[in-house]
Amino acid sequence: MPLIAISEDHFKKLLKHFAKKTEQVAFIFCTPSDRETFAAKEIYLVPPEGLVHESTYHSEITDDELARIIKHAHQKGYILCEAHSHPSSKDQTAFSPSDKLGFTEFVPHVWWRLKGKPYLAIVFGQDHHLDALAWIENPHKPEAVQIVKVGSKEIRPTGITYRELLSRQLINARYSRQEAFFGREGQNKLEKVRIAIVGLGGIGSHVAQQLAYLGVRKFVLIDHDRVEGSNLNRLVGASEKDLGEYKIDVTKRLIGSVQIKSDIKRIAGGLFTRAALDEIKNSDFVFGCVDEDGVRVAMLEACCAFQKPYIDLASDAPDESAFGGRMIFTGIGKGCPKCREELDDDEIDWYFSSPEQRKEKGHIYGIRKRALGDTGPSVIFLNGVMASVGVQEFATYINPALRQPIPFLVYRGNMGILTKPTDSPNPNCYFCNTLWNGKMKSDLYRFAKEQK
Amino acid sequence: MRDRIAKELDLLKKYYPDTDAKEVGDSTWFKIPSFLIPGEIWNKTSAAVCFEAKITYPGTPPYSFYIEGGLRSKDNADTRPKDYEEPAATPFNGTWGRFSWQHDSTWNPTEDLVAGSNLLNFVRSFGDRLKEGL
Repeated sequence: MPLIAISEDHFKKLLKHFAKKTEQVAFIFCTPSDRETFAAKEIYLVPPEGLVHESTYHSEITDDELARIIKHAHQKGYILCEAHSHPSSKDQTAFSPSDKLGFTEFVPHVWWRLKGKPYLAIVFGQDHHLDALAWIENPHKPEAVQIVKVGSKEIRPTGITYRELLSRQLINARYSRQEAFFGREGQNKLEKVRIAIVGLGGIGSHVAQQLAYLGVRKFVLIDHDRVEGSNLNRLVGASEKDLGEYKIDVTKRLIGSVQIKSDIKRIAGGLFTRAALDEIKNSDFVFGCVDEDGVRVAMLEACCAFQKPYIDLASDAPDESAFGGRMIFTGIGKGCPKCREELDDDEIDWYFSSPEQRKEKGHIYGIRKRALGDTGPSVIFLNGVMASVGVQEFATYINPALRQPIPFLVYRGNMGILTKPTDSPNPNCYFCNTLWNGKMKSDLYRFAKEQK
Repeated sequence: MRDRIAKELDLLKKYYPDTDAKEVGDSTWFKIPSFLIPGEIWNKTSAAVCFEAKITYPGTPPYSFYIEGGLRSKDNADTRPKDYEEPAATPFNGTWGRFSWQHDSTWNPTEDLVAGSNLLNFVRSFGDRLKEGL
């Protein structure tokens, strides 16, 4: 528990020096009382002529001045403690990003010059607020100074800098095993990308979980459905306690348990709202994980009109002899669900039909599965496979060095294979050519219920 | 009326001047009061037809078309066409029958209405269907 002890007289002189409106610098020469306790023996207040630059937010000491200070410490066998002021800081006093950057070079240098002696640093704000770090065992790894003792009075540093450093170290450690996939740049992209997931059921909840573990923090969750008993075999993160809750709230909780600093926008009104369409517009990437082709076609139109890369995922298990799923990546110039004939016009027409029209169609085609409330088989492992396939292609989009994203993948679970269909999409597709390339404008907000 | 739909109506009126349009919920319904059909196949030489452009139009084509009720073959008045249901509900007065009908898969609408797929193409496609007979 590092502690720095300063006499009241030295402290008063430091405060007087730091009372100026511009950032000031001083050095405290210390001796160790024990391994973690350091007592100030001398102080040196750097005069204006010892500074190269001096302003409210920054000051820089001359090389000659610095050399003299280090030499003095060396000759007297002192431990060096730098101190500077942040004139406008109060209870949030902490070292600035440029201070922290400076430490990465300067501390190892002093450590070398003073033959492995610890190095200390204090930043002074107003009203006795301060923060302090100590490099005791390692010139690259600071520890938090717990107490700055002034006479008999104890001042507790804010500890803000150390907490930030810990958080950064945690982030670095957390993603150390996947940096080979994404690189630092890719990892930064994951932190910044804003992803909309439409449909937070069996596939969408898997996708959200995987993205959160990858390091994605900004989400838009769009779904109007609530958790039902029949969802509990596959809705990741849900339990009996969630019955009746919005699925987006289950997923929000799931993401929050993985990414504490997540930024999640929830749209409980579903896709057909102005808010949802606006949020798709404000996102960088969209995952579509819905059941109905009617919703898919509207989502496709939104993504193409707003030029948002879009991965559409579906799993299907009509019976035990033919189960699987498919992934289609729109926005990479190689087709979309519509021109790859993966959207059924009949199904779309059915979705947007009135009850009377559905009854008529039922006479011609027989009663459909959807009309009976979507009672087809649905299992977690198929959803997991398709979610992983989608997230994998998203990963290739984030880091193209891995390989180029594949636009269309079909999983045939009953055969145990993932295939890459070679059929060419329609080059004149209304969605991924005409709308995406801005050859025609979409009156997309007609889908918003508020418009009617 | 949506801009695209209004332009489609204008185009239809060029060839079918009596075309009427009616907005119902999210959809627009079009009616051509007197559509010529082959008298050598059917028990009529003309009939009213109508169809619906749903909210997803023009991304998806209309899915079926409706014809004035009572359409039968010329030779056998009791024989109904294939994939045909009667009665069928439309927002227009009278009795209607519904043909399940899909435009072929190359549906590519464009900004230039005439250069790409449009409702006139759809009308012509079901005109071809009526020429096929039962």
